[in-house]
Amino acid sequence: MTGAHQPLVSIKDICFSYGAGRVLDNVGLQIDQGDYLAIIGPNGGGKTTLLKIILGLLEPDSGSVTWHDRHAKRHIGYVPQFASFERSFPLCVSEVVMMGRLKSGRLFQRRTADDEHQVADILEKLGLMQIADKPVGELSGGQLQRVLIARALVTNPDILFLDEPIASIDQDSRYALTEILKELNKRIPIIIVTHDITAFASDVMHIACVNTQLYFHGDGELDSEVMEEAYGCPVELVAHGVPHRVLKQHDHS
Amino acid sequence: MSSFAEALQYDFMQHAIAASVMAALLCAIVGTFIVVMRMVFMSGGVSHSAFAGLGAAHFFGFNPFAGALLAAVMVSLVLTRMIVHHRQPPDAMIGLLWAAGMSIGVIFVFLTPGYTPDLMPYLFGNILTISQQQLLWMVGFTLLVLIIIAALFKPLVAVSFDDEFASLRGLPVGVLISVLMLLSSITIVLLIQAVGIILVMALMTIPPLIGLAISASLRGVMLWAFASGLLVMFGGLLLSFQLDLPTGPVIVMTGIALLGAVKLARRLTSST
Repeated sequence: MTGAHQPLVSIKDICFSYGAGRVLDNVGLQIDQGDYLAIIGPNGGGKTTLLKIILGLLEPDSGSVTWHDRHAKRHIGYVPQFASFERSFPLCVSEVVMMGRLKSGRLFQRRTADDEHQVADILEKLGLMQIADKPVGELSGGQLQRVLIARALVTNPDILFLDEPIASIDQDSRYALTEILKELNKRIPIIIVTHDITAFASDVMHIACVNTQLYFHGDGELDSEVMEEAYGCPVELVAHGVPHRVLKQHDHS
Repeated sequence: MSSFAEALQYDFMQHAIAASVMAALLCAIVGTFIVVMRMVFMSGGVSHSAFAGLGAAHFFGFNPFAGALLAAVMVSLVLTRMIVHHRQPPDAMIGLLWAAGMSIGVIFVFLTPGYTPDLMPYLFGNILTISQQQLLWMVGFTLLVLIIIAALFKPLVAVSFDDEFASLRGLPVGVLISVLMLLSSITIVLLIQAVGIILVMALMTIPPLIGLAISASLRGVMLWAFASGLLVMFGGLLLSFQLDLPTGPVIVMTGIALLGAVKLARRLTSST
């Protein structure tokens, strides 16, 4: 189960269009057991669409997503983009986290003592106990994000996907998040979608650069020429990890 | 006031009051889901397209309730498909069905022989003309709607809060959204009979908005929506009686005034 390069999900030749606009063109990718994969690329480049196709929330026009571990497929943890998350809903923190305990395939749901226990446990771990009764509409960005992570983790996932987890949160929350993810990655594979790789640069094992097409898929060393091709303009690559891997100056003409 | 007290002794007023309680109850529960899911425009599309069924029923001479229900259910199923497969936002389709429904309805009403076209009762209804039979239908359907929502409450909340997460949890999202849309259609058609198309929209929206201004929990919102719905219905009924104005528009304006007052009170208390 822990073989480093044992494939967990194989994504082949994915094409997807919204109306006439091609969003993804022949994208192929592999997620391994124990992986820490970052899917990067410019805004509007199809990263989130690719993620939703991998999760099975969207059907591709063509191509295939094959899960080699059926158990993992049924135990996906998912943290959506919290910056665009609907906040006006009248629910409190613990009610949102409790949704992670909904039982699969059932119309009639019952809450057990074990559900209560697991939710309390995860609220404690993520430092959310004090705000358990707070309405989600009154949370800060960082707090809402931790709530969504708690909701994903209380499902006891075999794999965790996060969409733009560091957009618009403060530096402290970013650091706390990267620590949580690093710890989690000891047990389960993690896939993050982000337009800003810097915070994760020292932790991720693989990077996939997507802008309609897949421009790069490999280990953490990024090539500025590939990035320039993917983003369509010169890109400054700055890795905050230790050691600093790529630091290069470009002309922005 | 004495004339209102006298009116209370008549069947038509008792029916109106019973129908008001049903309307307040349905709108508090179903309306809250619609408002928090941002489906107000969609429910507007469903209620206006139901008019096509009403008009057709008049022309062909079958039960208008059945006609409206058939049209509303068909339209809501079309829109549900669009939401569940969300590739394109359904707002253009809603606008189209809205206009088509009203047009088809008006054409049928005009074509009906010996029928003087008067659209006011459809748009604003007349709660004072509800028959005992209509009232019994209302009670039956209200109970059905409430039982289904109570039984499926948690998964319905999960789907309306975040359908993608619910889908990854393995919940039958398509079924749940369809159930919610069907219940909304039934509610809308029940209430068109009592209060008309425009007032349905107002009642589905105003009491939940008052609830949302007061409470931050879903149950609290529904309770306050019910209380304010009753206040709006009874207050509007009483006012229309006193001022000798049509009930529907007076109920709508009573609701809007109450919403404004609650919002103002919230602003004043939060700034001090």
